Amino acid sequence: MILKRLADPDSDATELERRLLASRTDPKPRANDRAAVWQRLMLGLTELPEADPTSLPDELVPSAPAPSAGGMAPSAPLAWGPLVLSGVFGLSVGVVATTSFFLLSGRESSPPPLAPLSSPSASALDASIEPNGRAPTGASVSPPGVASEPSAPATRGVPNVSQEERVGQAVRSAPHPGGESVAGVPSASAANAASRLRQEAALLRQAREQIRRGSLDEASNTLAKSRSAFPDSTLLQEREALTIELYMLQGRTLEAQSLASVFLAKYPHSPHAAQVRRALHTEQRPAH
Amino acid sequence: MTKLRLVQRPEARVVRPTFVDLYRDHFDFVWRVLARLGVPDRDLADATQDVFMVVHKKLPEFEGECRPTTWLYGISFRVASARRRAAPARREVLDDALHEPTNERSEGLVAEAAHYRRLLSEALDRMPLEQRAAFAMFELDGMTAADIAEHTGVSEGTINSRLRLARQIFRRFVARLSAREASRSGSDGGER
Repeated sequence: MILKRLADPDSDATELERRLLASRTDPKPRANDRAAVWQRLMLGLTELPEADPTSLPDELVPSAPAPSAGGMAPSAPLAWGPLVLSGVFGLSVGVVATTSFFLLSGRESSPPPLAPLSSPSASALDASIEPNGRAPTGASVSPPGVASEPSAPATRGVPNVSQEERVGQAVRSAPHPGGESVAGVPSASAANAASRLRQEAALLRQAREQIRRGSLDEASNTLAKSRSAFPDSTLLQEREALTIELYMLQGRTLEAQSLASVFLAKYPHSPHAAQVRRALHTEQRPAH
Repeated sequence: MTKLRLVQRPEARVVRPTFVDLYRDHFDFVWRVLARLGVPDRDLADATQDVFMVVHKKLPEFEGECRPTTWLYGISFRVASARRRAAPARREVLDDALHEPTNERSEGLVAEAAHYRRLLSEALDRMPLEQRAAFAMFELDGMTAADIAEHTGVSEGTINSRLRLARQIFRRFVARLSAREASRSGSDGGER
């Protein structure tokens, strides 16, 4: 029997069910996760058999010069090939250049027992694979040295009135040009609507320029700054359109599509609708 | 008349992937499975490390009786399951979250999408792990029941059954959510 997917156009799913399913993300590791986990594994897997550097993938063989201790050295992007679940996951991998990599040789040899880690979970893990299903508590291996990447802050701030209205009000009340501050976050009490609008517009210009340059992380930070500084955004649609474009370029396709579908449903006649549709056909660009 | 000749076949030999092969080829797979099984983003690196530590230990016992991904899936499932049992109960928190309104007028689209994503995550958290895995692979990743069966090492009929049960949970959750939103809209005087 073949089940129909709820997300299929002709399924009987409700609008809310579709929205929830459409909000899914594509869980991919970040560029340095592979190398970071590898490094941590190397810290735990000691007393390994004789070194056989030829058994290591080229990408993980140390290369000079070595980076500073504990750091992830950015390297040339490497394609890791197709995986089973869904398509190709091309990744840029930071090569961890520690000599401990030479210690690993798994080919045709029996791995030694795991050495205890700094955290107590190695033995607990054994329990997790026993058929009786006993579960270890706190089966977390957390060697130090791997920093988590900051995620974009939650966004708040859609205006109660239409964007056109707010832009109109702000522009009408703007007495003079100049005095633009891109980096500064204005105090709501001090800044009038016009100067806030100019500052917000400058931030968005900056984000747009960063996206064009391929500085995607910087663009992400700039947009986050805009959300935080202008929760009651006057230029909300432009910001959302840029966010969608950024997500596409970062390869966060599902998130971009999810945002785009909501955007186009809410603002079908937005001047940015075409930009959003175009963004959905944008190819992923490696971050600089 | 055909003469039968004995052809000497090369000796059947288990080609066991090396640890490095598995890490290189299936790191993303393990990461993805763990995420779909509900391991929070912040714990994915730890959980993936747990999986590969078990892989390292158990590799000599792997005789190639199934695809490497099926074997890895089994290990990932047990690691995720252990983590889920160890996590504090979240139901009360989740129930509270259902009461939080999505103020579409005052939140951006990013926040709105994040809101739906959180609700999806809550719906998935209500499913037993086997059902959650089947639901996520089928409804979110677009895999067929046959593919899921191969990855999880159970029959297609079992997968279909898990999918039906998981879907019931999902739909009940969304129905409850809709009812609450409708009730809230009513109490707001239908302003939204």
